[in-house]
Amino acid sequence: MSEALTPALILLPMGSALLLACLCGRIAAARGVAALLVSAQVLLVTVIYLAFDGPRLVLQAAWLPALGSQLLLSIDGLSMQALLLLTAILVVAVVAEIRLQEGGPSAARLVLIFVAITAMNLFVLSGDLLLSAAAYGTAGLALAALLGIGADMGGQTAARSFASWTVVGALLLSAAAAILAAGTGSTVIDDLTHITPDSARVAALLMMTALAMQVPLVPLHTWLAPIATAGTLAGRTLIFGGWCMLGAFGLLRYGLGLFPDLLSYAAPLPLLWGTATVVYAAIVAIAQQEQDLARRLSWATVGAGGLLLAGVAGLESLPVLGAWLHATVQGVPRVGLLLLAHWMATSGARRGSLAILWALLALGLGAIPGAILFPGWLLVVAGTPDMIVAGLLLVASAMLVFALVAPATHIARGSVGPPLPAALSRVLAVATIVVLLAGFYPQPLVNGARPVVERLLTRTAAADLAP
Amino acid sequence: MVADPWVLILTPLLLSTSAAADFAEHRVWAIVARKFAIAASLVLAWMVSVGGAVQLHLYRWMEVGDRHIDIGLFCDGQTAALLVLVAVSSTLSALIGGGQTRAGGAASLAAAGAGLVIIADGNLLALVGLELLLAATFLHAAQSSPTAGAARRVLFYARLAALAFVGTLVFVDTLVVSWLVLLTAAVLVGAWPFHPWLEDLGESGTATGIRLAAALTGVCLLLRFAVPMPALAGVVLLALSCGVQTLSALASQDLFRVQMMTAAAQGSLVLAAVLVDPMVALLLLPLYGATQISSAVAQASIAEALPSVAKRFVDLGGLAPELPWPRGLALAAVFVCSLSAPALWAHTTLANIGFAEAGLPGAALVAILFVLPNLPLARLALLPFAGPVRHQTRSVTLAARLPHWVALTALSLAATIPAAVAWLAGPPTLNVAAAFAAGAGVVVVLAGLLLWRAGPGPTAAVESSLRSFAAHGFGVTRCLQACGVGLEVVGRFLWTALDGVLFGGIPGGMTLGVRAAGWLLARLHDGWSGWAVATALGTIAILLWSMQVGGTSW
Repeated sequence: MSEALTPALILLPMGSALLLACLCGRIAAARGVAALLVSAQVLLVTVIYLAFDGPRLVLQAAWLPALGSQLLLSIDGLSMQALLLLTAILVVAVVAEIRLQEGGPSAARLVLIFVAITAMNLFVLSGDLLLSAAAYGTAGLALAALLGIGADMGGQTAARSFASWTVVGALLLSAAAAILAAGTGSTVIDDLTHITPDSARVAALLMMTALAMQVPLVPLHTWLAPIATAGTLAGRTLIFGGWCMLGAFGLLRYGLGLFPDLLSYAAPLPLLWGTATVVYAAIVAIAQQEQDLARRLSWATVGAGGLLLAGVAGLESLPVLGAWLHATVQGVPRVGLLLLAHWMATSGARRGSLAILWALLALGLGAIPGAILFPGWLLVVAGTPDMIVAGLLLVASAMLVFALVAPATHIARGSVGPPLPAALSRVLAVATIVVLLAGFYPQPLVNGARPVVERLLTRTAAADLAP
Repeated sequence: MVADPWVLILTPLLLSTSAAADFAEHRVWAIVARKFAIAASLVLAWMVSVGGAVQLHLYRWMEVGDRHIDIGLFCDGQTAALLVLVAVSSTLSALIGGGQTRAGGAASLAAAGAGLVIIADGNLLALVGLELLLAATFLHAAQSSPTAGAARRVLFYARLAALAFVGTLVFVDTLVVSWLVLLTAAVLVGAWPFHPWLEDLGESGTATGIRLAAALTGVCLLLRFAVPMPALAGVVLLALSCGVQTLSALASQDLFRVQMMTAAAQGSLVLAAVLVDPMVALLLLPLYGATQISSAVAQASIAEALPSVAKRFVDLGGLAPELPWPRGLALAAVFVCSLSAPALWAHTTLANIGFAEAGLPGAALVAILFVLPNLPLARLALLPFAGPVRHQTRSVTLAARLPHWVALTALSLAATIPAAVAWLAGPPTLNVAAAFAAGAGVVVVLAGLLLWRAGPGPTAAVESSLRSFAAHGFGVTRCLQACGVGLEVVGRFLWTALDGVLFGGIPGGMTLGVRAAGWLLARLHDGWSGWAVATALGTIAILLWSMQVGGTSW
């Protein structure tokens, strides 16, 4: 059943975008249709999740025969979890656009939300590297447009910068696909796994750069901070919640999936790069002004990217699995904090209840025990073989939590501003409950991702054993 | 009889309920829930005493490969005793707290977290409870601390404690774990130099409740998770912490700060006792807790009677006729800490161990260590109430007079009942060293009381850098400042030495001492400390000079 329904994950949001575009700016109708389409998307993903019983190839068709590229869609444990998160973020983005955006919703932005989700779903389901590069570029440009349309000057500048970065990233991914196609005659990922390490080095470097920009990792992170403070709310929500998570997905699917031998050859550089990113982000996050909540959040995002790379660089099932779990689920608290920070910045509200909400979500994002991020964080740090690196990750993570929670001292001092909008309070309540309680039973998440991670690592072990 | 899992979880659950009721501003429900929490903890203690220790596996939290982490509950005699103490301290602190519902909620939440740590079987659930306690502590600080900086410091120490304890899950099966648990416990009890958060949390009754819950949690963590560890090193560090805190308490003029430093010193002693004899620690815990609550009540009474007067020793005096009940309570706390049967039992046991390990000096050292924190407590109980009246204003409401016989009866009961329980558990062997230690303790306490009986002098103490460091308790910030000053001194001195000795020859070397001494005198304007440091550095300068003259080198 899941094979039959999975292509609808692309077709439904694509059709939604077309339908909304056909409404020709009739905003009242667009709002209703968007709400309906989001409900349909949630229902579809839920049905596929419940029917999911293992990795499946769901669609295969010729695309660019000259390059050996195919329209290949497949679903496995990793992509299932990524799809769940993307759907949750889609719901929040539509709510943000309809209910929370200053100046009211825009039909063009609603269309762009569904275009971006279509491309991001395609990136997740794609089994072909060139198709993934196309999805990467489309999603990036749609997000850049979503970020800039109707935004102020700062938002437009941030959108232009983001568009430049994504174009470069898409070009790098495409170049990597072309290099690999020249060597193997195909861009299908399963065919590329047999490539020899020597001919793959340049392609691996290009791909790693593109994904490091997406995660993001220091020093390829500079596009993130401007977006934290400017641009439309729906665009920011999708970038912070979905785009960065796709970087993590790509790092596992393409980085670890295609070049495990190169990763182990480069060791311990990836581990040091990831650790340095976490430490640097923690220091800079604390150095930000306490009132600048969004910037602190953006540095926490950079730190999470560093932790992801540190986990993937471990090349063992515990840290890699932990890196994936940590990267997947953090979209929820991150988006919650982003919306709360935006609302407090625009309304000037300060009071004890807001401080409590902020502190709870920040602690959740900081992976306190019991929170949904904690299992992943623990697997990464405890699975790091070097005690000094593990200690550094531990301390830097604690610094990031401090940087995120400390602004609550300011928020709690005062009782000004309007009450929290009903839509936002509902979104935040659900996010807080999910984030703080789901960590008490993480086994389903572990069971979903573990077979895929172990399959990816089998190749590493084989590469290690090879002479 | 086997304890049901619901009975195990009932006390933290009821404390959480009281927190929710407090946050929702239903005070009556909160009070009822706290009372039921005490009842639940007592029922659990009874069930454990009848049926023995209980261990319950709830579920497997996570299983990856050959690694798995389980979640379960555990309760034995120690656990039950700690749970009763948590429930009781939560109720008592709420009584001092008055009508601060949200702060009361934070205190109840902290107590619930402490309860969860106590009944947790394994690091993970203990960590969840600890995070609950720390989050509640920060919430309280964010809303009630005098400044945002103070709240931020509380957050810093809270995250430090969490960081240290989460390390026990990261560095599994290494010796580091024990040290990390010790660090967590030290932060939670406020041992030097992790004490500033005690003061930053504020003076309210709810803050007292949180401090007690944190101290109980620290002791519990050390009892359960810090084995094996080199006890001697830990004891030495904690004894050092106690000494520094007591010195700071004696140097300070601020009543609240004295109380906090004493709390930190007592916390260090309890942790040291945990490493030597857990039974002693369990005896000392209620004693010290009662002392802190008594001191908090006495200070709250003074603040209520003299709202516009700074709570400093130099500004207070002659309050005995106006506040007889708080004075009696504060004095009772001193006597309970130094002369009550449980205190003597605990001190004697430890003195015996000290005697066995290091002979008479060991026993004497233990006795002195345990008596020292009572000196600042005696100061708190006597100085504001003795001597001439210093304040100019007063509030219209004065505390009610308490008959002496009531105070004495309460004191006797407080001293006798735990002693009887402790004695039944296993009386210590009294020997010459123990008798000497107990006698020395009594003499020191009485000497302390007599010394402070006369009250402060007519003039305020002269502020100096060193005294200021002592009075503020040598916290992390202060230590960093001191290191900064030290580095600056060394840097300047070295530069002057290089400049003078290498490029200026003997005349330059001779000016070196003068310049260093002059700078130091300007820096440390208090006579004795300035001269002491200047003399030391002058000596070094002369050594450098003689090296130049004699042509020798180091």
